[in-house]
Amino acid sequence: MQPEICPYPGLRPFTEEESIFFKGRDMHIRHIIKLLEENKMAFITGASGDGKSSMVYAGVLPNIRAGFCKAKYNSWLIADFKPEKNPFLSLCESISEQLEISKEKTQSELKYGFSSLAKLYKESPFYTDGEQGKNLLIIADQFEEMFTNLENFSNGKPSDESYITINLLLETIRLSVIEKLPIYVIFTMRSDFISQCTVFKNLPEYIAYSQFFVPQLKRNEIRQVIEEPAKLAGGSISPRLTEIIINNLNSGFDQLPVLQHALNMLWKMADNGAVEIDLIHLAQIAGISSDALSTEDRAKFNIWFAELPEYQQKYYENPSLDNILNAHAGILYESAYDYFMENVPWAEKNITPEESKEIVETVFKSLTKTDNKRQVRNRCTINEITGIINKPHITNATVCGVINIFRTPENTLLQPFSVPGRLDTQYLSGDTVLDVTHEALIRNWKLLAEWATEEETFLKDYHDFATQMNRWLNNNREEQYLLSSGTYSYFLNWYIANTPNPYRFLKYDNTKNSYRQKLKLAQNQYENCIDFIELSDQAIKAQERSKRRKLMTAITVLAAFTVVLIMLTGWAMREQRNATEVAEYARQQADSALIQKERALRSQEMAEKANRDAGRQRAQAQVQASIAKNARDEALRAKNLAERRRYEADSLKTIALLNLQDAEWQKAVADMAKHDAEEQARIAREANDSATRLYSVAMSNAMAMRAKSEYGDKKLNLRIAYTAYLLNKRNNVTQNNAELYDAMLYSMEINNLVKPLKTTNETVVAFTIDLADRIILITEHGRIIGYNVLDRKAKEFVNISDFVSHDQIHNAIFLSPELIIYSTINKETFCININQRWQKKLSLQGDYVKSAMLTPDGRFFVAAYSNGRIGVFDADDPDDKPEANINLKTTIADIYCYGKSDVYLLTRNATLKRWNFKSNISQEIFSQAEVNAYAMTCIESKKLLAICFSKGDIQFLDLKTGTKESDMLGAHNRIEKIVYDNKSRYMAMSSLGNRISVINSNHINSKPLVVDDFLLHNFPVKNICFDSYGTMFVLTEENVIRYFESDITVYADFLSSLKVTELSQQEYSLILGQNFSSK
Amino acid sequence: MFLNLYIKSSKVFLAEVTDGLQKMRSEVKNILLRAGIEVIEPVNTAETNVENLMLNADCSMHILGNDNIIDNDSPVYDTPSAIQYRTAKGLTDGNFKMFVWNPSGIINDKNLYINDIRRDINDNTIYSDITSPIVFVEELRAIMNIKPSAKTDAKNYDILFIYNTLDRDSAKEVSNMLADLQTVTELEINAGADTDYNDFIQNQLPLCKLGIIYYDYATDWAPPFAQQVWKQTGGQSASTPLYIAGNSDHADETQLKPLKKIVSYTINEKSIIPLDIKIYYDKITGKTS
Repeated sequence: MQPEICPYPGLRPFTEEESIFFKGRDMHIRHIIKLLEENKMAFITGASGDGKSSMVYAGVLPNIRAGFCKAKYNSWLIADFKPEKNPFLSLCESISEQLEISKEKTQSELKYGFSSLAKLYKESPFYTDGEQGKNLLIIADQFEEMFTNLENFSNGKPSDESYITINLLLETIRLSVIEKLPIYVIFTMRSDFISQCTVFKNLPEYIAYSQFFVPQLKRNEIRQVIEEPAKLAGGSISPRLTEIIINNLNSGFDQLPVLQHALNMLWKMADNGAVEIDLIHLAQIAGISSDALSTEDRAKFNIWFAELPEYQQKYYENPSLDNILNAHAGILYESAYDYFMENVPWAEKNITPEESKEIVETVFKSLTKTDNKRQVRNRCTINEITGIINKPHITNATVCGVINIFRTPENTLLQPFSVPGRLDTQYLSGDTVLDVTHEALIRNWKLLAEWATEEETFLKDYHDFATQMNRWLNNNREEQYLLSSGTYSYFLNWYIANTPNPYRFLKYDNTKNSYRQKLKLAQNQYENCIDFIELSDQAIKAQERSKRRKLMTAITVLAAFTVVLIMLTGWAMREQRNATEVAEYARQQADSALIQKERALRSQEMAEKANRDAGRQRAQAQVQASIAKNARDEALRAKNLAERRRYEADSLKTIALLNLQDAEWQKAVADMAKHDAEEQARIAREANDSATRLYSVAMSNAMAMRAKSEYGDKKLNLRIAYTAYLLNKRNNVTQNNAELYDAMLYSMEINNLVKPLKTTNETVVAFTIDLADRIILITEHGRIIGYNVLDRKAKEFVNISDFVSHDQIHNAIFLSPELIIYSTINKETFCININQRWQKKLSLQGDYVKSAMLTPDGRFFVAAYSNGRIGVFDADDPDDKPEANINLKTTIADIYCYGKSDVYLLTRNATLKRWNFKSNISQEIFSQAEVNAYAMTCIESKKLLAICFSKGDIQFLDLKTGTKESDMLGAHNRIEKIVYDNKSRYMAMSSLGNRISVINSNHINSKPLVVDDFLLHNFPVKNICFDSYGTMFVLTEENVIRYFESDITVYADFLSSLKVTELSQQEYSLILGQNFSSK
Repeated sequence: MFLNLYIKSSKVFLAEVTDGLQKMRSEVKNILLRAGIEVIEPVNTAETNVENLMLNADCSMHILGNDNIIDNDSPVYDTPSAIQYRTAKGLTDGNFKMFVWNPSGIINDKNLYINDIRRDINDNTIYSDITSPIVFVEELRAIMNIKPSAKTDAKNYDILFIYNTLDRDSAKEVSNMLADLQTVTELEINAGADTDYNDFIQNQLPLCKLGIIYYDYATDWAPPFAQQVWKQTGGQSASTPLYIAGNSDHADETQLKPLKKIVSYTINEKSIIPLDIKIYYDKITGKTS
């Protein structure tokens, strides 16, 4: 009987099922079992890649299950776990599953540490007096994750969860020994982490008590590894091949993975063991030179080799055992494109062979990272990799399809592995985590080693760049912290060569944040990166311009400035009386300032004169004092007179000093007057500039209004709108102008330039836009179709009919691009997960779902039904009982989830409540009399909840303080839907009368841009979404998706590309000077 | 314990070498002596004398250089080193082990004959191109130090009927019914007992005509136990076939994955199982076709 399975697993570890072929470690397995029997524990350490996990799962465990370990009972419970990001939870999950106790109870019991675990076991039905009980074996595999994961160990300190886990395991071992409980614990850990174990109390003592260091295999053991699996499977390996493999095998890192991979390839090359495996097979997998073959075998080899494609032959240039893995991976890399084209039914074949290689390169670069100067594995989801590739036509389906050749059972270089004939294992959802099967691949595939080095260089440059950027950010983005010319040039080249994006930054975020938070931070980082480079560019250019300007003489500048000023003033006087008046007023102000200045000068002169007089008087006083002094010397008789004169002189001196102070004060007043005059002159200049801009805006608005008039030639409307845009642009009026936007859209619409996206003919119930800017929609029959939007066309990339509904769908809501909730006309509500391909009926029914939203952590979603019932559901198991529910017994208008467990509930009768579904406490925030409420959203950047009332007004509520903020008029009619886009910061409201108003939340008081009923073909709006560029997509009752740019410049550039020309001066005068019939 | 501190004393016949390798041979001899290995050297090069000396040793050791010692046309073909190599090679058809060492590790134009030597390796030839003589001697000593596994009091039986303590009653019934048809020896596996079942089965099963692993309640135990027994006793190359018998009250085929592909089995009612075993026994012993 020939086994179908290969006895050598290749790079992946042995499974328990494959333990029948696990050889070479028999002595070691017996020793570990003996440790368990005597000490109740075994702490297995060893170097990376020396097969610790394989030895436990394919060696120790099967022997234990087989009854070769002395124990109280004959059956075993195996609770194995890896610490991962929370060792306590991982342990609890495993124990809960084995002891058949709920997770909650297990956690609440084990959190007390010490004897809790032993107590749980003793209280379980598996600990009995008879023979029917079960021994408990706990396996803590890859225990080094206690130190390698930042969540478990940072700054030299273990987390609380790590500590409690160790406490539980060690105390359980102690009690098992003392009380002779049949509980056993196995740890596996990389030996380089031994020294760090000292941070846990008692752990070093327990390690010393029961450590097993996995020894390197001896020659005869390697021989067993090579020969015995083949014998067990009914095959054989020639002794000479065994000897050559043993001799060529390098000691140290990767010895076993390289050997197992080579044996796996040899087995397949020898017709799955049907013939004796020999030297020629080793030569055929590029493991030995054909020179080592016999003449006969060499001839066979040469014939076989000549038929290989040229790209494969190059991998045989330097044959060796290490080269086998390099050649295998290299050949897969080169054949990935052909495999994709021939074997992948689910993806569009819209990539080139070079792009296929680029995808493979990005996948493997993403799956490796440098850790302490060592290139190691880095798990990544397909979503993240597709994000890093960042090409609209390369989707998750394409990435999954291209790399599938690395996942097949014959290759198994990437996991998860695929199974032939099972599409569910071949097509992977975007959430699937990919991983390199073994780090030996990184060290032995030369190309991957090069890629990993490139990635390391990228990371180093990124860190340097981030250091400079953070300095700039930490100093309020001050210009002096921007990049200098040399470093700018270096980092610009780095940026162009690597084209980083948020997903690439995300890869290097090692914080404890959630994935969503990390992604958000990465997006911010990316935006900052763009700003930093652009602003540095601008600053450098400005510096260069400044230098050039210095070359011009001041006289030329002054003359030119004067000429321009005169021209502008003259032009402004001719064209706009208002501007002239403002200018005149400014001049008057300037004149007035000059008069004040003259007055001040006169005051200054007077003060100076007074100062001079005072000086003279002081001099005279001094003379008189001198005379008085002389007189005193001359005659005592004159003493009284002299003293009197001296007093007079002192008085005069005081007066003179006062005069001097007065003069100085007068001078200060004059300086202030002068400064005031200069300030007035500056204000006048600014008023002049502002008047010019206002005039330009007025003219642009006038033109815009003319663009909505009827002429014989519809293209003229386009030209008028375009001219109006240019008028604004030339005067640096850059912000969106509602009139101009209206005119531009109108003129494009009548010229049939605003076209809807062509999607399905079926009635679309709802749609959304994912992170890659693709449209995902659901039809009234439950079909889910995805479209890439490229060149203003929608191209289908996925069409899923798994969930086609018997009943017509009444309404649907996208909770996220992959999670949909919908109600049928029979008021049955379901939830679909597109990626995981399931559909579950919600456990709460009774009416149509009116509003629904995911909680920010993505674990739950809240669904509100029209009849006032609200339920909170587990996003993974919505068919389970709701986590919480409430019945408001009134019509629901909208809901909004905030924080971990708060939900804002808005009722049609305009009452807003906050409900905490964890504590089930609800609190009324406010109630508005005599109006109805219809919708709400949150401006997340400002934490403002916007609530829409029946008269078109919007009330803002500060979610941080719970206080009402200002209100505004969002529309002139009832607002029925409101949407806020966090990236573009746009808020869109559709109102009764089939209009949409769009407001930039950064300029909330500016006039909204309006898409009116004419542009919506007078159909009501069903759904609004924004893409990452701020483009608004609108689904109407007409069953079409229309899209509108939120930046008028996009339309202007489009018109420019159509060669639409500006009006001539003559046409311009004619259009503004004549009265045309208005539409 | 797997750490063996005691080294079995071995005798190595250290073959003569061609010119240029004398210094290396002398160095290796000293290392062998310090490793506790007795070195036997030829006193005269007559082929019969050499063969006797080799048979008196546990293995031989041959150092290779650039001179082709195996080609008929080679100038060194009649030198002692070449003769001793060929003599040892002839003895490897039995249990004699020869260690061939190419210390340069490199195969160049001068010593291409080593490729032929490598192609001619058989089960008792150990070829090494490791450069360090100490590592080479260490490997030699390790290979010669392998202890044969301990023999237990194994006997020849027709059928060895193995079951777990959990299924004692059920197994006894089946065994009794089977005893009416064939000679049966029972083995009860009890995890709490002191017996080393691993060694016992490895020694005993090859002496039986058929090994039966019977199970009823012990569904967790039987499949992994059968896997280990299959593996320890030689798998597809084993001399004694294994047969798994499961009582269909608790056993089903899904438990046997991946054994289904490699071992014969029956999942049946308890009363039918003895007949199934008998039919299989007759088939493998040639009583029926």
